[in-house]
Amino acid sequence: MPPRLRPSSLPSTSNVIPQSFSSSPLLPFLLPSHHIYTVISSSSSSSRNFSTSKPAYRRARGFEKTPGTRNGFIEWMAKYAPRYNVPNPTNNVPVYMTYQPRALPSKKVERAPGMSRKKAKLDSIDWDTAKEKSTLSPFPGNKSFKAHPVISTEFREQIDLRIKAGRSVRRVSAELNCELERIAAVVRLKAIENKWIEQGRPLCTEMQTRVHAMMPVTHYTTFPQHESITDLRIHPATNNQLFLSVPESMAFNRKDASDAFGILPADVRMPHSELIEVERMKQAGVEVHEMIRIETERENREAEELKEKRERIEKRLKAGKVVETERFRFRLRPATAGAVGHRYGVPAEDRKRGVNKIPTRVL
Amino acid sequence: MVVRLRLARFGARNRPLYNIVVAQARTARNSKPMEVIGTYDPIPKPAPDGEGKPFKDIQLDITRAKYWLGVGAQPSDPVWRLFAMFGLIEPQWKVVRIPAQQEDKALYEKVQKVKIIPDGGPKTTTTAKPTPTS
Repeated sequence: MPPRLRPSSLPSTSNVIPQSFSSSPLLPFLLPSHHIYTVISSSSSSSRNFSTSKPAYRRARGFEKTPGTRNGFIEWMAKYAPRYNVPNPTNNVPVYMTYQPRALPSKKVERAPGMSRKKAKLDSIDWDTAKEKSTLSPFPGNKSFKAHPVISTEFREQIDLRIKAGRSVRRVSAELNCELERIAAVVRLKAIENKWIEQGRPLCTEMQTRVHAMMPVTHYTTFPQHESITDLRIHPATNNQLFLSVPESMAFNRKDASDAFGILPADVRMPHSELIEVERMKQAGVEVHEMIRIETERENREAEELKEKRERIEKRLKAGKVVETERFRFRLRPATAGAVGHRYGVPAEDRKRGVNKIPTRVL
Repeated sequence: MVVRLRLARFGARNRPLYNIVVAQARTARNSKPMEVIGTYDPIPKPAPDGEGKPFKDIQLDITRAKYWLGVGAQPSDPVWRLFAMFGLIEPQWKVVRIPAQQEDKALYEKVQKVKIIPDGGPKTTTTAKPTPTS
């Protein structure tokens, strides 16, 4: 089980944001480092309720066999295909939202004289209730399929705002309780979107609307809770058993285990490993302002280190195209034939008789 | 006579420097070539930023190199290796490490943190039988 750092469930009085403050529209910019504050956990649905790692049998066999797919499909067709016949569902309820195993909710409608039975039946469907009751999943017939919520448009804009305000991806991820990869993806996609808007290309918002209607959506709130951000992926090195004899008196902890496997310890490999320190400080009763100061210092330090590293890489790349082999880097530079190379036809006269080797003039 | 793309040695004793030249195959190494298209300095210099691997410099007129390859000039093995780095030709061979013994394989994998992938070359229909040595 990957280690998870859950936010404390009971907010202490010291580090809960006062109500007046939290209602400020500038909240995302007022909060220097939101994750230091106790996050009041809302519903359990916000956290991921399944593992993102592959289950053991898939890791072992590499593929998943679905028995009787064809039979299943035929059954599915028999059960749900008639619902495709709904000509124009009202209230813009997409047809796929009505694939519930139970019958569609209906309301009483009096059949006017001359109206066909089929039409009356269609009219009697209560679409509002259907929309409320529908399971938000692209595969509602598949009970074991758990759809992970997607972030709403506003949520995405909030991420973009924070990144524009100069915050690091890591910090935005911690503030919004959204995985690092997701934040990074939003940043990249927003860049593409802006480019497209500049070029005047049409945006494919229809797809987004449809997906949002089909999937559970996390909306942006004061304390956004999208998913668990500290999930640790299973390292492939740990898939195999490893037998190690250790003295009985020795305390064998996570670090020792990682040393045995030859990988980094879980506390370091974990995304947001800095939150461990925050949690420790919280337990030690360090004041909020002090925590903010320490966190800001650490962030600045990391940013500087990253900047230095990037500069070093840039300097290295500027020197020309670089091909790296096991021992050396080869710096490839373009040249012009005729201007390149050591010259021919210039004899070295350094051993010739009668030639003065000691310079007689100073240039 | 074959036109070759090869190296011509310059520099002093223990300090080689090479010109990448286009020359007739049977002419002397340092004779005047048809064309000089680049240089190669085989002595590694320390990395400019003070960390990482040492570097070696290669200069090449890529347009001329492409032209000479196009008209059928034959690169020598070292020049082939250099041209492969520029992406002008396919590498002649890839360095494959063969562990001395099977036991060493696991150790090697652990130390290097890489998996040794078995040879993925074209499968032969007939397998050659190992000849008994003793």
